Amino acid sequence: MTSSTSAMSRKLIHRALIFLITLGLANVCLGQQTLHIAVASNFKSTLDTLAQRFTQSTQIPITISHGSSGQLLAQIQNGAPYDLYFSADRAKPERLEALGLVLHDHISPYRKTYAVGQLMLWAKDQPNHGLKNQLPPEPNAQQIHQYLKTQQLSKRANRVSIANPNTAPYGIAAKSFLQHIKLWSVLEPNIIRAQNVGQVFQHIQSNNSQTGLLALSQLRFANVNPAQYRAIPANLYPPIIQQVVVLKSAHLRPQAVRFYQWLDQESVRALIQQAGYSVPLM
Amino acid sequence: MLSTQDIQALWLTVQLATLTTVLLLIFTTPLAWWLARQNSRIAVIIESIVALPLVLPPTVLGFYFLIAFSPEGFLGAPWVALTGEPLSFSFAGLVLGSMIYSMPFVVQPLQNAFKQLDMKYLETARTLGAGPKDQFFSIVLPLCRVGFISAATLGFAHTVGEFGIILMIGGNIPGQTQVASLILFDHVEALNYSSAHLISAILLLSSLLMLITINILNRRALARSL
Repeated sequence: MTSSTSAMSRKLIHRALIFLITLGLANVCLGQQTLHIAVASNFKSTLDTLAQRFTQSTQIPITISHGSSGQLLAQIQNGAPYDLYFSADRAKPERLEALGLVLHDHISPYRKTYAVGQLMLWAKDQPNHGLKNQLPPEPNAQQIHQYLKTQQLSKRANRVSIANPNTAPYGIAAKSFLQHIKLWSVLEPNIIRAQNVGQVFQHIQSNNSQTGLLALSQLRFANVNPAQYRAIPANLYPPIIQQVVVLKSAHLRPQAVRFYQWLDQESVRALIQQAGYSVPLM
Repeated sequence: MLSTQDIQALWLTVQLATLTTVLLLIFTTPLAWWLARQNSRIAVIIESIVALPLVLPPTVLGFYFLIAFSPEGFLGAPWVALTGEPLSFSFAGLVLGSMIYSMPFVVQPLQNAFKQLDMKYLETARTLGAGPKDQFFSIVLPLCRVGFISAATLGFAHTVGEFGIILMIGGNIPGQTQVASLILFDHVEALNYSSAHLISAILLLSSLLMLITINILNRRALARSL
């Protein structure tokens, strides 16, 4: 008993030490001149590419923190030192604006749509499922309904992974899509709620789920064979509008605003599109 | 204040922790006994393996479980063959994962209790004709009572607090795998802070109560032995 409690207190001390060291390192790395950006996980890899370009042309170094939009929002509300926040939805940036935490110029707040996400259906090629031969390249609601229903009937343990429908933007879209094609209640017992689209990807990749609803950007980033996935028609779910804000608490306001405006450049918009998003009309 | 889903999650947590603790007590008591009586190199290695979940990040375990539990995985495949159900994202999968995660918290107190047990009692019992079963229930269990209670309480409390692994292998299915720590995380993510406060407070108080129980028992046992 005594040794297990001392093992636990040792563990605690270790964790505390690691935490303090990390904190110290973070402070050194995030010296005054680094732009600190918080980004929703689905856009992380794209932002990495963008940040690299930006740093190349401006010499402004960028540090990126990623997490779920909700986690990041909670951090920001509690004083996290970010300059910009790329959310996976529109509601959270709006909430920050309502709380007065978004930077304004003399006319309007620095809040805009940077990308619109595309919901995809993914199933790996396997003897009993896989959508290569069962769905045309651009399936309609009827065809997807038929496909999912057949899968459901053909295999007892056919699981469908979606991101958390209460919290994750892609999960909200996935649920409303399944409701729209009247399959939510049929599939519900077999729906696996991943924490975010990153976990949906893991579930399919590790064969723990057979079908997943996730973001095109992930599939492109992981170089998944396009024959394995299909786009969900955009009229079947509410658009996944992803917005960015410059935070009022930004340490590097001019640089943050510069990055925010740089996003409008045609070459940057092209990069975002290549990554698997659509971009708003200018 | 608590929704039915919250209550369901709390109840599921109690079920998971109870089942995990009972199974661990049954299966790891012989292991702890063996570890307490052995000084061989192999015992040191096994002791270290048992302690691994103390130091490994839960996500490492969760990642390995995700692979092992998949329908083609080395644990998932036999499970599907046996039950027809997949092991990942199931209650059975959570129990198995929790058993490994909480194992050191059960084995170590038992091992320490067994180490302090004077073998003379057992020898005397044996000369008086007591069989192994009788020796265990009449001597080991009463004399190592505090060790068993500590093991059970720590195993239970640690399973209640499990999060990282369940986040990866659970699938967050209400009524099947959505435990308290997961629903709490969801509430925080959904900015549902009042529900989050309530569940947090329940978990905090129950954990504190369990630790107080262990410490009272330990102090009593210490006072008696002095």
